[in-house]
Amino acid sequence: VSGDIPTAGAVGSDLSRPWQALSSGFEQARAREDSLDRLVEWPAQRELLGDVTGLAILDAGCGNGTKIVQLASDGAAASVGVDISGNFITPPPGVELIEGDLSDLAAVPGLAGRRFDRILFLQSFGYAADGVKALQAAREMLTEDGFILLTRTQPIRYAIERAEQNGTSLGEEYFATESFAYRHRNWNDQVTLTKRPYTMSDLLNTFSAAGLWIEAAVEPQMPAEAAERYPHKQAVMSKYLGILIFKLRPIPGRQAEP
Amino acid sequence: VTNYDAFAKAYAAENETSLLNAWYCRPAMLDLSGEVAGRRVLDAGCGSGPLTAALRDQGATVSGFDLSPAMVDLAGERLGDDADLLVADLAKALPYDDHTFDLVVSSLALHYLEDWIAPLTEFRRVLRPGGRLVVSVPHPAAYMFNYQDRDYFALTQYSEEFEFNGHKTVLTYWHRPLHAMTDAFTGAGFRIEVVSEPPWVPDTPRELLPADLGDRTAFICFLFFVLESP
Repeated sequence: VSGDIPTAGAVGSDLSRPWQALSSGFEQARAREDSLDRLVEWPAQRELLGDVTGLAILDAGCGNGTKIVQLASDGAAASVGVDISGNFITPPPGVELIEGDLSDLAAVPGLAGRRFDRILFLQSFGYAADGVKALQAAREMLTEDGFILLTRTQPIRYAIERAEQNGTSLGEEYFATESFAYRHRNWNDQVTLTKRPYTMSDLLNTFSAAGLWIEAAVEPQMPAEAAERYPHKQAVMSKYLGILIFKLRPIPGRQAEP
Repeated sequence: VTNYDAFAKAYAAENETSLLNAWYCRPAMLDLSGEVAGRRVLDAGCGSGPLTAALRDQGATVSGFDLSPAMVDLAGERLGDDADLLVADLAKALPYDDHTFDLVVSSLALHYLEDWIAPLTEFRRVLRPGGRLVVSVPHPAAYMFNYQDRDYFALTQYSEEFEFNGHKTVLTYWHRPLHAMTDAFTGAGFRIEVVSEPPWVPDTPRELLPADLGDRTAFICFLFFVLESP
């Protein structure tokens, strides 16, 4: 069992470090005004987070740290971002950006014993070596009233894309179990991600196995105004769907299964 | 809501042997129901009672209701005159006392309703604390895959034509995206314990399976939930 793993498709000074190439590719794609993260995902995530004033927030798989810095400027206290790439923007005072693996947050340097009101896995959960273990570790780091905000690509999306690519049926791809190679055309098409396929039940059962329940779920859509301005992106959303967002809380009185 | 009275017998006959009911949905519902011996179980939307009977065969004390009087009559023929079977509407207050049941099963019934909160709230009321609800509904991806020009995100009423034992009929139900399902469960106070996309049972007659399935053991058809009432 392993998480999604990037490998460089060509040897080069940049691509010899695939995590860094992937991370900077993502940030470049996100910087475009028509990026789905900017138009759809981040606004929906931000709305679910609500008022963050004075909250301790941990962004697990924070990329270059833009979002956790944004939350700090919105009033979050003691904000921490963790990313394996170590490619960070210069953080303002009060924000720590730490190079580390989100697979075991308790083992990230400086995080042992700390507690957070919000722990975020924003399109980063697939990189965890073991999803249940990663969520169990995060659960143990939540404050009493804390929650985890986790996003994951709709599994239907990969099934549709791969059925198109492979000339296979949607059902065959949806239930596929072999890892598949995936390239983010908008990020860095020289980096190949080896992805594990998953279904809706695979994803949702991870939460209960980690001792978490779903307080809210959102499948964000493009706001009408953005859909009008970027019809090519609306077409992508209509055909392939987008992401699932989950607000997860610890099941009271139940320890996570070993 | 579709009126089942007009084709109750044809539907019931089809349900006995069809791939999707007899070899897929019903065994999955039974499996997800767990140990039922000695438990009080309500089959909400029991139809002609095949699942009700299977649960009783495993030692459960069963009750069942359906909107269609003709279906309830057929269930009575199957389960006997002394069976606790009623005509009742899933969308309205249910004729059972609070905390009556250890388990409620509702197989392929909720998708006929636009609103899920009212029936789910009733299920919670008639379940004892700690009791479970097992439901099956059409898989939200099936709608997406079958009708690629339609809007996955919207709660949408749609109809499909079926032939049950030679009788053509139109069934009308509601598509809802995954988050609308989980939010309805949460809104009614349930917690999701298990989500399942199970295989068909191993001894399914091969001739019932679509020819192009290859070595797959699962298809996209229904989605199953086991929910706990805390």
